[in-house]
Amino acid sequence: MEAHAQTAPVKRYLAMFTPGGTIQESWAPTTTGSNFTLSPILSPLAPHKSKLLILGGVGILGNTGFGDGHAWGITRFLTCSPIIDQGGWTAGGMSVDQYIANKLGAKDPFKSVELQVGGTTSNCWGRISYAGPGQPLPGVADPQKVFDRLFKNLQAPNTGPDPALVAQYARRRSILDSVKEEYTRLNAQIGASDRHRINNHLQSIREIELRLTALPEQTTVAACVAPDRPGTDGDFVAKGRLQMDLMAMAIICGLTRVATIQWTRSTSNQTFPWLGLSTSDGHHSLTHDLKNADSRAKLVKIHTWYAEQFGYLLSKLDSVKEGDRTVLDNSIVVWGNEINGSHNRNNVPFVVAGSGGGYFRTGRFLKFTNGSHADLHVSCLNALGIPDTTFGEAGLCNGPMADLT
Amino acid sequence: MQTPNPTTAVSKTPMRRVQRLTGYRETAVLAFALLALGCEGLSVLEASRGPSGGPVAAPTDKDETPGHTPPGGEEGPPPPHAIAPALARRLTRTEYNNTVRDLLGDTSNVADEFAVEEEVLGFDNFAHALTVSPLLAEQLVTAAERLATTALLEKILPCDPEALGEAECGAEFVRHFGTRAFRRPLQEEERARMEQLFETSRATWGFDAAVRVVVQVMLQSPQFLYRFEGGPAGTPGERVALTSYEMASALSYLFWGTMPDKTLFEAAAADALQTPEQIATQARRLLADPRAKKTVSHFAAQWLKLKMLDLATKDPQNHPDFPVLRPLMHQEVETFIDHVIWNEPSMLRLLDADYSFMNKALADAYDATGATGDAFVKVRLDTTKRRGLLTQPAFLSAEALANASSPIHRGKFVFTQLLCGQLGSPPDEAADLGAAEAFTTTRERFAEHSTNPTCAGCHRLMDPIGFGLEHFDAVGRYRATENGHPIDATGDLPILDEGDTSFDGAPELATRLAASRTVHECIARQWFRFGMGREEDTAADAHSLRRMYEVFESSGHSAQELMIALTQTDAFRFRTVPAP
Repeated sequence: MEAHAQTAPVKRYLAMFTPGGTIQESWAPTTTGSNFTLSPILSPLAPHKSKLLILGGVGILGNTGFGDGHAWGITRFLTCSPIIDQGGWTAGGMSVDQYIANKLGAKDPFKSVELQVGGTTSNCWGRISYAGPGQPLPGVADPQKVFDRLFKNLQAPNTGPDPALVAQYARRRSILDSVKEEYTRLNAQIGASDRHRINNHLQSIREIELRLTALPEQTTVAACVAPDRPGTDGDFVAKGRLQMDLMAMAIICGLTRVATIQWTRSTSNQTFPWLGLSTSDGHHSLTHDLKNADSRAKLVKIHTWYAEQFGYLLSKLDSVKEGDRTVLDNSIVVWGNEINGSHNRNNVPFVVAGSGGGYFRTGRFLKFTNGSHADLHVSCLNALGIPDTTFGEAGLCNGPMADLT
Repeated sequence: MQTPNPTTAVSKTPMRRVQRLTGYRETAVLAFALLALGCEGLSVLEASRGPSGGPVAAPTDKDETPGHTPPGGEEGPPPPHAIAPALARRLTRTEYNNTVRDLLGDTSNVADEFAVEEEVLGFDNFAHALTVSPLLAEQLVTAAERLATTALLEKILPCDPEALGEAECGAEFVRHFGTRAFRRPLQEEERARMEQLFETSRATWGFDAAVRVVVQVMLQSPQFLYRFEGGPAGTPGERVALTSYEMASALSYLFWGTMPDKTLFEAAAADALQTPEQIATQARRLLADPRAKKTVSHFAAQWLKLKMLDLATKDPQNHPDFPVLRPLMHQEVETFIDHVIWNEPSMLRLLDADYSFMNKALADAYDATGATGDAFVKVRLDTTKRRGLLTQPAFLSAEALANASSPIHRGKFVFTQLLCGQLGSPPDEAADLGAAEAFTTTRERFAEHSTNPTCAGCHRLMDPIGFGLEHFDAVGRYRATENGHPIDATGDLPILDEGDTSFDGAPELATRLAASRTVHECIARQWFRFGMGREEDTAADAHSLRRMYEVFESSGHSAQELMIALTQTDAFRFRTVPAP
């Protein structure tokens, strides 16, 4: 499929989270540089080998704050921020996907899209994306709801505006103006702490109001085809696929340029019967049995399966050409985790796919010594045209990650 | 775009202590102290013992709690009578559904589709965590639109436009509906604005549409979506009573999870919700109403973490009937809790009751007698083996592994949910236990937790409790032996100043917990958290918590008296005017 040629290709940022670390001896490629052999766990990514940067020796630094190693890992994964107590344990800062979305995506129909596969918890063990301190952005787990939010009103090419929608949107615009006034007038009457939350609520309204009150423009991207509306049944595998389909198509259609997908959560005891694992082989239980070779072998199966899912997502993005490149080439897709093995985070598996429009020099395995994943975020920001030199908690970031370009 | 959160106005000293790890590569010295609970003579949880055996205080990064109570429980200086600041509380999904049902007569439960609430300390109604993401903001917009479009005007119009005239009726509608939607009379400026909105809409779209526009705006207004409990405007730092309208909402949301009813509105209009007696009269009426049952069940389900049962997976080889038994386990524990709270003079029977509720299928699986059919009936327990909630299959299964019991999970539950204890964080180098087959019993398998000083600090607070439940396997079945070895179910409760804390087996554990002052105070604190939508503040809430505890004790640990007692406290009735 081809998209219409664009003068300056849009760059996108995607992040995928899977929990439970990895089995290092089956994850790390053998040699560094571009002549590496894909490991057993990463072998499903063979078709995309030249577009990958596999990063070893990168840690999620920092362990102060509330919670435990899992909470720190998943909270810091995209925020590089400690967990704070703000009437509840939560991230102390904005996540990088939101930071990027604020800078680049404010005019997109969706500033960003957050997706979930499988269950999670509504606390700092189960969130990766934050609009700011204490403002988690839960992903939507139901593909049908995702579809309804993203694609229901996608304007098919060559159709005129629906008059009923026109009337509805006009009324909404006037109503939302009144609603916003309710919020601004309230500010004088309430205390500082409440005002912060009320202001954030108002900010959320402002972020969505354009899309809810202005008719969507017709898409000019030929590869953008609204998917069929998913049903509500389907198991973990099927829903994961649907979520990735929706995520990729949202990117392709230009509905957003920032998206995250979170598979289960840190400490998830997800079972994988389709891999031949039993009900008592919960993911988290296995990671606490690492002395057992049998358990390690089962974990390798799980992580290999997640690599297959990552590969599937990459294939979807890679299938759409944009000039000389593909959507994948013009994107950065970060696959990360919250821990290395059990509770420590000094060697968390990271894989980056896509070159951000030729910024990264892909097709290599790099091995760092005590690397900081915050540096990776800085490099991604730079690749996307955001010239920041640091991201997240001070003292845990060295600047852009070495040797990625 | 988002500014960093300013320091909250609550001068709160946190209840918990965080074990501070100074570097992730350093081996953690796992020592921490559990803090005293204010200066009220409330019980002290044991300070941990460091490797040398003496108590070790943890370095902390927050201020110490004022009035640390020394062991022995003497009173410290009299409590400062601070009051927590006003705190806006967003409606939860359940509250939204209930409110919309009572306001509009809509029963579609539109909020079921909303983004879920963030949870704090197991509760889904903590004010600070109820933020509004763009996703939820969008859901609120479309829900309001849908509700306004489908609203039956005859249910919400207080007048007939054809009789009264459209403009007059519109004004009356704004006043009447606005009072109900905002749960208080509109301020003059609000009323004028809404009337203007109504008139402009009526000119463009006609009377009916104008009514719906007002409904749609009000449903998205912060005055509808949030409960403000600031009292009348005052000087920052000033202590003010909740207005009678605010008190009406405080009571209706506490007991019914919905907006005030006609009687409460009338009492509010007469400014007759100010004295403790006035408040108590309404509180008793609300609690006696069937509408209270769901809310109280919701409290108990969160406090006792009932949904953990849904997350449990069991080995299909060894526990093939678990999927069939799970819903029955749910029904047992919910029936039991409901029965105890509403029928027993003392709610401590939750811990040590000599009965439960089962049907035949469940009773057969758990060697109980007295149930003959599908209906759930009261069954007597063999009290040499079982007493109360902690010996029910629901709890035992939820807090266990797929193929084994888990003294840690069970002990941690008791520690956090029944003793209100707080734990530090596990070290990064948490050792992996050996494979289960290498040990004779589960107890032996976890022995390293007590012998390894890195582990012991926290695990000595959890494991010895859980060991007392070792007669119960992964799905709560009783066993006298494990791998041929007799079960050792001796254990210890990590509480001071309560005499002998050792016990042998679950029935004795149940009795000890039921008699424990720490447990009684913790139950009060849990209800406080749920009722106030925030964690208790040792400084500002000490007085209120003590009052609740005293009522709980003097009432013979009555659930109903405890619930009413919250409404009588300073914390419930007053707020400090916050900084602007």
